[in-house]
Amino acid sequence: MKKYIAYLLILVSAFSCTNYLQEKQVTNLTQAYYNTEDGLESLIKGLYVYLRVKYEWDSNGAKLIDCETDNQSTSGAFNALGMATVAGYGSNVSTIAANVANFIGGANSSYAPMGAYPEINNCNIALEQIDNVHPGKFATASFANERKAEVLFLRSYAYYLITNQMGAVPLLLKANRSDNGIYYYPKVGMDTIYRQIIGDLRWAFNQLPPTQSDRGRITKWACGHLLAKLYLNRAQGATFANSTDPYLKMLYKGTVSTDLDSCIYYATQVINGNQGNSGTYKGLATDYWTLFNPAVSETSPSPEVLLAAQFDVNTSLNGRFGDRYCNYMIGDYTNQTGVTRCMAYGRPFGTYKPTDWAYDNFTDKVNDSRYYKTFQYEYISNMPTLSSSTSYTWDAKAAAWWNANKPAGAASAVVGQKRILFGQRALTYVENSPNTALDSLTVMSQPYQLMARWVKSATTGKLYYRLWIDGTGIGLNTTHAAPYLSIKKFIDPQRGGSTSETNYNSEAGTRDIILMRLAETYLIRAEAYGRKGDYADALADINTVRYRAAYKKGESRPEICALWEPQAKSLSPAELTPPYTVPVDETAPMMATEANFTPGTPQAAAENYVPSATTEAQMFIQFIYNEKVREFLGEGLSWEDQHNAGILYERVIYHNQEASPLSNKWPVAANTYNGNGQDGNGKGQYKECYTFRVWPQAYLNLLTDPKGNPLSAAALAAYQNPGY
Amino acid sequence: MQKLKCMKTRKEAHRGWSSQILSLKMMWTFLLLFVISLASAQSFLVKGIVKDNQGLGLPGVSVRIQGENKGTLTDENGAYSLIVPSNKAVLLFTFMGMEPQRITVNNQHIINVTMSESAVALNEVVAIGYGRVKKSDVTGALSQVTEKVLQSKPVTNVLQAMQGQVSGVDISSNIKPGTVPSITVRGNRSLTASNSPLYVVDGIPLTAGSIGDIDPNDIASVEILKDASSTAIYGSRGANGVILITTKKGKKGTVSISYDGTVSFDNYHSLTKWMNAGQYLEANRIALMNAGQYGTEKYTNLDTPVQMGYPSPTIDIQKFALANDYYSQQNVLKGYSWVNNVIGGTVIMRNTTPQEQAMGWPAQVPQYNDANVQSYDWRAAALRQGITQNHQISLSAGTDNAHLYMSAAFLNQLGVQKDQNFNRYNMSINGDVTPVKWLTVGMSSYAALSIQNLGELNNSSNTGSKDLYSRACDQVPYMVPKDSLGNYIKNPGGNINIYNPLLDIAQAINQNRTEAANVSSFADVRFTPWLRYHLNFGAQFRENRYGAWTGSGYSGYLAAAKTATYNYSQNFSYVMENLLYFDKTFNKIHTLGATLMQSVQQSRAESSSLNAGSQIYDASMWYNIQANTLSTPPSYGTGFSQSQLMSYMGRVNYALMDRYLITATGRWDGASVLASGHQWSFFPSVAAAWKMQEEPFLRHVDWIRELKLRVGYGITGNAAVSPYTSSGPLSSNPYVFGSTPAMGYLPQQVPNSKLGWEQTAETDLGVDFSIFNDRISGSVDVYNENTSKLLMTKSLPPVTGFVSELENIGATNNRGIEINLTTVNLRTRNFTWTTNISWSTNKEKIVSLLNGKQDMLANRWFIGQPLQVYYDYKYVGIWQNTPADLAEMAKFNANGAKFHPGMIRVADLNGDYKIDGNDQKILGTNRPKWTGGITNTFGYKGFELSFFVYAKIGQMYYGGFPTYPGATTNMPTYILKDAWSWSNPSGKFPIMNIAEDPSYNQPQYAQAMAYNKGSFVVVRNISIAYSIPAKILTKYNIKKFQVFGQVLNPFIFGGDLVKRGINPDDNTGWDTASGTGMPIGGMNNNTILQQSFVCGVRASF
Repeated sequence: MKKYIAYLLILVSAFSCTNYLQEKQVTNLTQAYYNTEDGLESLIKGLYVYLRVKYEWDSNGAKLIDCETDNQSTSGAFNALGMATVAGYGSNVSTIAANVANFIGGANSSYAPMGAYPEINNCNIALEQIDNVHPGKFATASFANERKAEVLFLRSYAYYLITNQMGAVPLLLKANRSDNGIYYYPKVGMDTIYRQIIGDLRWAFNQLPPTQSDRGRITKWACGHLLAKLYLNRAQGATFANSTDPYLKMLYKGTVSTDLDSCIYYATQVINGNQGNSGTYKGLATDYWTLFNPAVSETSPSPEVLLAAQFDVNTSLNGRFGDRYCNYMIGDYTNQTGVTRCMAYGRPFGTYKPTDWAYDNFTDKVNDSRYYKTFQYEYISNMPTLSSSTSYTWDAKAAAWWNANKPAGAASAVVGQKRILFGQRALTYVENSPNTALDSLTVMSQPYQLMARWVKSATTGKLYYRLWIDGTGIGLNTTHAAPYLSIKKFIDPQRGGSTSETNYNSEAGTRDIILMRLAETYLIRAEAYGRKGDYADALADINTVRYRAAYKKGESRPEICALWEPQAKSLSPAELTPPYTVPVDETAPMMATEANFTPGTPQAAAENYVPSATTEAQMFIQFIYNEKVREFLGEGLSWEDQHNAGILYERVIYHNQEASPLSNKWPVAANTYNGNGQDGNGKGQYKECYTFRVWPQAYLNLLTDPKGNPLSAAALAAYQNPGY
Repeated sequence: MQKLKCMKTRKEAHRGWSSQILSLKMMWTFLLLFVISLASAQSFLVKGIVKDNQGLGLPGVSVRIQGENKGTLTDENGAYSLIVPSNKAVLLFTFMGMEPQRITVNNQHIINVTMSESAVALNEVVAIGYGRVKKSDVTGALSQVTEKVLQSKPVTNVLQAMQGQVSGVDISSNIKPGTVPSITVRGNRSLTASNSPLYVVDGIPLTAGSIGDIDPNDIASVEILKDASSTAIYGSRGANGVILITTKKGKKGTVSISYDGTVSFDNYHSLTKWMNAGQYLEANRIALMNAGQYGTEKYTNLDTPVQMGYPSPTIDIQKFALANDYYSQQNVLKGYSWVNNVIGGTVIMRNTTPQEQAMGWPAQVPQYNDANVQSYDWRAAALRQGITQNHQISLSAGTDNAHLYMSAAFLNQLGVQKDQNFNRYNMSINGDVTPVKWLTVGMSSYAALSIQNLGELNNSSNTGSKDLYSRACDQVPYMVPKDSLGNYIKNPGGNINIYNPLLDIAQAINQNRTEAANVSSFADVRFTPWLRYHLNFGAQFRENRYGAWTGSGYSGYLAAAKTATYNYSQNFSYVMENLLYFDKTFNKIHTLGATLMQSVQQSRAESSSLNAGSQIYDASMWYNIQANTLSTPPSYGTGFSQSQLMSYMGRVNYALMDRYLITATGRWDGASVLASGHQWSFFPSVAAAWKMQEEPFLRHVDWIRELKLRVGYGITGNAAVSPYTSSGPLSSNPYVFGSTPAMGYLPQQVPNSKLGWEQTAETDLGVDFSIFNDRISGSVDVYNENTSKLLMTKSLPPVTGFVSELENIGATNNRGIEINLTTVNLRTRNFTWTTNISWSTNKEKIVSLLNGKQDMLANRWFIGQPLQVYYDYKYVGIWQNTPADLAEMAKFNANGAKFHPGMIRVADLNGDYKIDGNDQKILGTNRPKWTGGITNTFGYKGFELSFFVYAKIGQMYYGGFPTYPGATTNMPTYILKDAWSWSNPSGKFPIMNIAEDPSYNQPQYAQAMAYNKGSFVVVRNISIAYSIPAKILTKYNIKKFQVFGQVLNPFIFGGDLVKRGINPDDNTGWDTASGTGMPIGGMNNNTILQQSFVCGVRASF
């Protein structure tokens, strides 16, 4: 028996060793990992995730950057239907506050917290590790400096984005690695922050290589581009130093007299350095569409692209949301069109839609190729079974008109049968004006849905705004679904990770999204020249961009341009015949001149400037931003740019009818509905205080004074931006 | 004496218990006189045979001389012999599960006894933590569920059988085949961590296994340790109560083989009457007309009565979006009459009546008859006759030195929903041997294989339907599932967001396949009669494979087609315990017991997951995941976690004169998941009991069999910290450069080295009693438990770089009363009537949160309130078309509201004429005021009839607002009658109105009407069983043969809610809240009552 006891005692003691309770971090890494070379590299790679912030999720960055501008509105609660309402627009501060909360910093499921400040803190950790620990390759100064420059760029970019939204914010330059219960984070003025990030970027510019073997890593030129933009922003803000408008005055970021020259210097460095400022296209991609054509952009992106947020067809590399931007701008194209949701046309979230002004801002729809290269102007029916096709049917009136007027060889209409045939045009758009309204019977009698903005009754002469196929009104807060001419730049034929049609409902986009491209560098420099009064150099840069935008000899315009576009009247008969080939480069009519921003000229009138732009200098600024909207529609720049230029509020209320509180600024249609529809009045409640966003109350409530006590009511009020 | 007993029982047959007291008193008086008269004191031998009421000898019965430590056991045939000191000696015959017998010797030399099964087994031994004690010596709050109770319910897992049987234990109802219901003991105390109790099977804590793997037929008893004085012995895991499961062991005697089999026929009984196609169209047309959206009505605005219009085929096509589905369109158009019967051709008009013309209708309108629109019964198409079969065969054998029990079981559950089923196969073997006097070794083990098919949908998110039935309820009755060629229509009704659930039955699978094995072994070494060493070693293994698949024809509901998921997890744990038991009585009055324990435990889990899309062929399911057109799986991963627990425990029991009992325990737990330096915690407890019946002043009060007061206090923990949380882990954040993966590792949480267990301190006061010859017995407990150091995620301002931190903050309190009562209402030779009642009430409240006494509105946590409350707008009524109401509405509408007659009115609590967050208040909680169960059992000869009624009273139930026009789902018929309209201003529900703003799927503030009183009483089962008499059976060498039949859930009673067609018993989903505190939603719209008819056989050979 003693033997057994001895065995048992051995067993007992075997389990009694003190190591038994040690937790091995098997699936788990701790910050100690950053003391190794691999760990520090992985931290820096992780910092790049932040570059996706504006394009991943509409509850984070995506809603803050493009909608609520002159050119796009959010369709709010009605998103699937594309009907914007007051509630969905501007007045809804609490929705914006939720977005802002995520933008400052928020939990992110099983991923690291998202937002600016987690990014900034992680950058600070990386900087301290590089400076103090410098493991492995980081011991080599050149390597360490290059990585440090990347980190400084990313931290500066985070400060750039967060100051755009919030103005003065806490400036944190040291890593925080533990919690002590004290949350004293006073705001720091934008002048201090800009001084810091401009300094950081100037240092980084000198460390970064012109090219990186890793696509998407920060290069010297991306850094120079951002630097030029920051100088321009500070110069813009300096003009409001003594503004009587309290919101504009908040845009002040310091006064440095050389800022415009610094802007020109760094922009020139980028323009000359990136590809060399030579050749016909001066470093720009030759065809605007190739920047967005997934067949090109995903395999061999143009060198025009200075920095792109990286996503991959391997969706597991795309984080929690992936590139959701591919869904947001697509209106519903499936309603009785014989078109079913598919990979080629994208998933119609309909979250953001262009304003009427955004369509009209393409003042030259026949020579400026960007119009048809930006929008999905037509859809082809893809529902093969005639019996199950969702096409609407011929009624007697339409069939009679069509049979009488149809082109030779076209199929006859039979009452009761489907109008839209498989493989044929199903849906198309015409963005015309009351003066160029189409005949209502013609519009309603086509073998496809012809969505014209303005139609006119031949019998009554009444003007109608946006009619549905059954004659009911759509858009502007009517109750009917309102499909719209959608931006196609981001449509992703590999959503969900492959081209398989079974992914037709996937939200997970896989395409890289351009953050900075050389065309913008040109327009940044152009603005700096213009602000100095040097319109010649400014126009040279603008025209570099417009030269590329023009249709070139041998390109074909779409058929629907020839068929329905009012401006197509200016084209020659040959150009109006299939295959609609462009006979000569249309670069000449695209060249901008001082007339475009000279008060009183027809060119200036065509630009539809806001009322306050009365001088050439003011009109020049507005022209630059009109051009930016044409060039970058949907690319996520307009809110920030117009905000920093101090022109956002006025452009929104004059150009965006759904946001505007103004009355009688738009043409009136016969088909108003219960006080809605096109009655000439703005539908929104946009306010100037939206220049800067609201600080979320939940954020404010967590702050403390230096002793750890919650902030007093007065301190809270002082922290909050004005107007909220 | 035996004659007397017969006389006594005969008397009982004719009178109630009160008359029996009288007869007892007379008898005792008589006996007393008799004993005094024969006061001689000679010792002599008494012999006899103890039989059960079937006439078979009972082996192992304890025969003891009352008041002395002298006794014996009956042998295999039930025979015994014993030397008694005197005539006055009283023999006490006790046997587990039998009514004890006291017989005064009184000069008899042969005393034969017949024992009958007892309703209350006072002297039975019950399991406690790390040991077993006589039930009468228990000092803590403990409830037992016996084999008999477990067997009376045809269940697939043991928790279902326990529902309503034990006070203080709340077990939910869940209709998913193979899913273990959730259980809480004495309320919820933790806000973020688990509130589930610890399971201990044959002494080994169930860490890797699941209670659902155990065949309920293999369970001999279940003990629930409820108060901290009894659970503190489990230290850091004791706070949520401990459930001890003892499996069946071989019994000494001849080899016996038993067969238990049940077949259950299961059905869904819809409590709700659903609309047919005609009614659905009518409701929607009314709703459209009420908003001026249909077109044939005369509509001015929402404040003016609308003149109803007539149905029109062209408007129907537009408004019901019929253009996109040919078959729905044809079906709706059948409601109209068509020239030459060409549907969709030229519609036949009819002349309108003068009354109709007075309403503004034209001279002719389309002829319409909604009865011609065909209705498709989607729910019926999703359901079938469910059948559950359960078969078990077991063997029991035993000698003095060895015992063996073996069983094999098979469970097959064909779900009522066509896509759900469950299979389970169980094997178990238990045995022990005593090779030498001082040593016993044994092992018990079981293995289970289960396959659970959850069907096409495994949706646990807060939106969308949760299973096939609930998807079928969503379908509109005019839609049809198949086209004319017999092919399924993917999007019936043409709406791209409505997917055909029937199509998916064959196109989607969610399956769990689980293999589990549990082995525990022990060695028991008896050094001396008072010192014993016990070694326990247990190992558990459980692996689960979750496979999900969508076929090439899958509709696309919530997932893409052609996907495959393969998730695998493997859990292993072992426990080793060294125990030393000391038991000795000193000077006859001091009984001292001590238990010392040292244990180590390790839990290990690993997992892998693979998700792939674009699968090439359907038959591969998830078994050939590489057969896809993508080269890489879109997501994959593996996981691992391991934790260790090391413990020391000591317990001292002291009893003075078998009257005053004291138990004190202390446990030290060291856990690897806590940061070093903070790993060890101490959990003490102390309890005392006073067995008053042993006091001289009560000893001879014969009608009191037991009266015991108990008081206990203890501190327990809730081991809720997950491995690797205190170190501030990094998370993996993928990025990509070009197509080169760039995995970023970023800080996920801020490190917190001070993280520790949640702690519960509990005081329990109880009384156990058994009176009137056990006619009334039971227990009453009162308790108060304070839980502190609650794990909560504290939000950090994001400027810190982090957004949250896990900390020990917050406190909750639970207090309650529990009553268990068993009464023997009638007991005669042939007829018995017993009643079991369990009743409990618990009041749970939050004491403090993140910032002390400050509510956390975002989480819907309020100081002083239960852990779950409904916080929302308060329903006031329906806005009426009266001057007073119109004036009020105008004030709201001036602030941007859209109130009009017929809409829901909610309270404007702060009177600012704005309905916003400030007008929400606590409306109630889903925690019941009390719950109770009552089982009545009637026995007549071999027949036994019992019915069990379960009640849950005083809770609030969310989900009482019906589906309404505007949401594309079917609706209950009663809203046609009960909706407010201009002609029915007393309507209880709001106006049917497809609102201007289509983002409201339901009328504005509908949720305010969704909170209802959820009290209900359900007759859970009615059971009748017949045992064939032993006399007949013995001829065929059969020991026992019982047949039984049951009906499950025949009736439910409740308030308005039940009458309207909601089953508040089925609270699956409604009790969990989303991030904003709104309930997530029901599994199946909670409109059904699952009913079953069961028949079964139990036989022993």
